[in-house]
Amino acid sequence: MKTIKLLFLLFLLLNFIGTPQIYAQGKSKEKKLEQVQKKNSKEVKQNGKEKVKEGKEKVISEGEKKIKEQKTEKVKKEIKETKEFKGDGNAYGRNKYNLSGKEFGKLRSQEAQEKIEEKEKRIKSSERTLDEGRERIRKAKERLEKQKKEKAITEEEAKEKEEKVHRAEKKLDELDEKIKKQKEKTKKEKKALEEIKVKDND
Amino acid sequence: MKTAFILGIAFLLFFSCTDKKKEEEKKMEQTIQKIDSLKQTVTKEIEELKDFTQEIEENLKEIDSI
Repeated sequence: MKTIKLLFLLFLLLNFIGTPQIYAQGKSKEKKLEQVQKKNSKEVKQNGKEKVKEGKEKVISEGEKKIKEQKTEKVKKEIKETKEFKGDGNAYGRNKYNLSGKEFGKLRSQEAQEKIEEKEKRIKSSERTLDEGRERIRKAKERLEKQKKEKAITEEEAKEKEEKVHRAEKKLDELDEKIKKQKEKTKKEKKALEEIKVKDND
Repeated sequence: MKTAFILGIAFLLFFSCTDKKKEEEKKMEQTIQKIDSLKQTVTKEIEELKDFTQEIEENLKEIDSI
């Protein structure tokens, strides 16, 4: 009985000692981020105050008042943006919005998935541009041939226009290559994300 | 002696538990880092493709005037 009591007390004690350490690790990181955010917002506020002071000195007519209003609105926007600052780089020390590590990870992988989907849409849109571009070049070539036959343009002009068409064709070929590369990369990225997700579930 | 032994085991048990938790957190952070870098790469690629496509659209506008 005595041993059980001792063990129970020991566990309680360790729990009190142990948990704040883990909590404190996360908190110090959050504090750092908050400090950065505060610093940024202070800078913006200071800039804002200076701008408003400058504005006060200049205010004489109604038109100038309007300018002042616009400035303060801009500053307010800047302050709002800095408050919403989420920090760059990795997830270390970032406010995880009271989510557990796993939930945060899932949220992140979902965001990455959405980015990949966005990329796929971008690729499709670029493919449409490519198809349209080929068609537009074909039509331009036809027009150029017609102009040449009808002698509506000089030889120099024709050469210039041919060069333009040739350049555009080259660019389209480059785009074609890029699209192919990006398609392959997207496949790999999808696979990599799936693998990370599987590891996440383990 | 018996109490000391039990205390020792309890300590070991507790530390192994906290270590495991820390390790799991570290793994999760690494996973999130990987996801973040993947996301950044994808974002960069989207921007590149977008810029290049816009450049081509500008070129095509020139072609249309022929």
